[in-house]
Amino acid sequence: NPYAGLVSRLRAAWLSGKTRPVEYRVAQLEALGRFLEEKQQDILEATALDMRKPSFEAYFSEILLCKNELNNTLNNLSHWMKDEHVEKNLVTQLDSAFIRKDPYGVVLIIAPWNYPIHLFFVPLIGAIAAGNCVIVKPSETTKNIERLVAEALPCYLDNDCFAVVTAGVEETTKLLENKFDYIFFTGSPSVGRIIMTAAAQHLTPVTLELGGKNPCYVSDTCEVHNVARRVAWGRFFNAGQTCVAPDYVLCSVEMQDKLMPALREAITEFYGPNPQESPDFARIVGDKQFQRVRALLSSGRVAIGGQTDEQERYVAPTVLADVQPSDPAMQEEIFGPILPIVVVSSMDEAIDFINARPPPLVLYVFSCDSKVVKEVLERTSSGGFCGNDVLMHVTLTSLPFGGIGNSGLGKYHSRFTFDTFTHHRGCLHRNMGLEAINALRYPPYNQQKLGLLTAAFEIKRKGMCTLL
Amino acid sequence: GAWIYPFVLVVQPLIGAIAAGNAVVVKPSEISEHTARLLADLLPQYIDPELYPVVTGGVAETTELLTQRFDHILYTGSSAVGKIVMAAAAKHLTPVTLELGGKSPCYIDKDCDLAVACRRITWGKYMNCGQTCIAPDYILCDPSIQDKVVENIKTTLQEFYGEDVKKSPDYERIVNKRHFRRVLALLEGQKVAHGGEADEASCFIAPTILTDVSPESKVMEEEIFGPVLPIVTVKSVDEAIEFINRREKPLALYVFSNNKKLIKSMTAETSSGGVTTNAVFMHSVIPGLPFGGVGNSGMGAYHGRHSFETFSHRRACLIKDLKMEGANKLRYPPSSQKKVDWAKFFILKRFNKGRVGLVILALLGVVAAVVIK
Repeated sequence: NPYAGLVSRLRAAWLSGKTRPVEYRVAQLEALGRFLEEKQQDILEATALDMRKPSFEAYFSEILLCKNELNNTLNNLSHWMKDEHVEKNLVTQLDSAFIRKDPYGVVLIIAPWNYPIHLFFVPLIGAIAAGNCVIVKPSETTKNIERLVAEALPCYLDNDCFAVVTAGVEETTKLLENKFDYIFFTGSPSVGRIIMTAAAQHLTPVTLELGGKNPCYVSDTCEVHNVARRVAWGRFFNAGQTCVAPDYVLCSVEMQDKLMPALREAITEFYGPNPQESPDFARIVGDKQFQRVRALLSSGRVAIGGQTDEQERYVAPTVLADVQPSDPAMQEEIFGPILPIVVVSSMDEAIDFINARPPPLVLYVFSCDSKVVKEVLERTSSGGFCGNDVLMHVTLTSLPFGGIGNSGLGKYHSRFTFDTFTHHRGCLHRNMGLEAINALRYPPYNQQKLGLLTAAFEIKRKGMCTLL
Repeated sequence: GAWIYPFVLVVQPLIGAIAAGNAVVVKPSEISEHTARLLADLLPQYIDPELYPVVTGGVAETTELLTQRFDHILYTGSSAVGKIVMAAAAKHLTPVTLELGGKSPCYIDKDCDLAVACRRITWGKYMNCGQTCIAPDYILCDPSIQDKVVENIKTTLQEFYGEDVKKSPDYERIVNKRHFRRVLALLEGQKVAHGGEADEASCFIAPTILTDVSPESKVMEEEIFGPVLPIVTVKSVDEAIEFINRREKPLALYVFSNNKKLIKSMTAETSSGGVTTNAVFMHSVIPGLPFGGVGNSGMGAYHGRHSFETFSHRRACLIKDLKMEGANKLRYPPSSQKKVDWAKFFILKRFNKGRVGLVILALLGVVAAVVIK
């Protein structure tokens, strides 16, 4: 196996204990910070080359949010690393009971192409903070970023403990044959299944950040212009290639009629009369993905946009009206700048529609009536939820980010990333004294001992009193 | 569930699953058939069988059951079957909690009260006839105390089970013939310092101690799950740590010592599901501690609040207002450097909380003074 040597070298480094001291972790994290600072221009250029990512978007998602995570981690690391003391029972009062934060060992992070820096960088912060050795595998689809990361990152991090592997599908399969102590994967549900099956061979725990079709329910009571702007922003950011983008809209036929001009206005406001000329609108990442997205246009009727340019891999910001559940755009995650609107007659119908499908990564609800927001939240399931806006729940470092069911397993961001890459080890330190008390539980057994033991160990239900 | 503690290993996770609001399919181990039948008969009389059905059966039925889509699977059992469960779960992207096993090492320091240490180890090792996932599987100690360890354990065994262990009502049996033969085979070629008697008819194996055990022998390969205690001698703490680290991560680590530094370094330089020092098992009965393995000994944890968390999805929610659209303009295209600068200001946490906190405190002080006056 071509990677066996690399993995065992990293494992030896981990067993040496090099990555454990907080000073070491801080030094590596600070080096990551310098990577972000010094290579910022190169990152912006590479993402522009790979998918014509507008520099505003690239700066926001690839640099700003990563810096935020890094600083938050550095500010709180010693606190997160501390042993967590827990409540003890009567018998263990004199003991020390706590949860120790142990690293797992050698972990693997596999990143996708849509936010190629952010989606390996943020997990990497947590993995290093938790004291692990890490192998990073950036996406082979975004070639310029892949090359940048493979060449530059090793100049900043300790090569004994951290490595970057560039690999396509075949090589990644070989990489996965090795035993890792944790695997963090961001990508599609179908590949997520493959990763988890490979991990099962070694009983490796995983976090899978997958995707799905994120529904966006727009109720009849709402401020249409604000809704249109927010939804359009979220849908067309990165030309729709965002795992938490609103995938499709559910609303009444009246709302569809009101939304359409509002969406048209928002798109023009954002990208001008010809979005192809706007420097603020990205392109589809590759030819294969372009063909796939273009095929989805034959759904419902094209109300806004619909233009494509194969040479540039340009798909115009598009809104499709009267889309049927059987249409191509409703069969798979769109991952492109196309917003289908599916008409439903009521909130109940919308909820049934959502629940008939696999739980999404995020659910969006727009309504001025907080009761509507609450009800949809309570009667559905999703990774995350955002009322009256899109994407923003992802930027809060205090919220866990992850999916459920088909949209994923596990969660991260900020402290949750640290916890993801940490084995919470229950520890109890007793002392050798007070042996007489232990005699209660030793054989030979008798009813009296059992009675006393029960009294010492029992947890009673609150508010219940027993009449003797 | 598993056959070693057939009732609690079904009911304890069930409590967490119900508390978290799930519907639950319960599949008790077919090896402990009486408990399985009891659960199948009794549970439906107390809880709604439409929501909490009990499924009984063996390997074939379990394999069939695992082809269905579940939203979480908690499995207690062997690592080999754990891999099968996880692979089946992978097809549906079902998260799993696997409570598996391994060889839990028990290190005895030269400098400790051997009588007390050996009594505690004896209790843990031979309870349930050694069939406990967190039983101290084997002992690591300096060769100079090996004989004393054996003597102390013998004395304790006498105290616990009397002269004739077979007659003690407090000593269990191996669960079935297959496991009986498996455990007995581990004694081949070993130096039996105590015990070794066996009776197939009643699946009885006496409490047994093996000395000078070689790390390569069969008894050191798999989890023993029986009343056989091998002692492997090591000449130093470092050798013990290396020995433990060369093997799969165990479910529990036990260290007996009065030396706090030794305990600290042993804990820090090894990995295990949980740790108890100067006792055995006890970390598993503290509800605040998560109980689970790592690596080959499992993934995920439960007990107490951790059970509730295991069976819950933490759904991140952000509810905003549809008004105040002006603030959002910062993030919309068309972009500009000014917008980037404002975005940086709002998003990057530049404030030193301490200073801001002091300012706020001062302001509050002024307000309070005014109000009081």
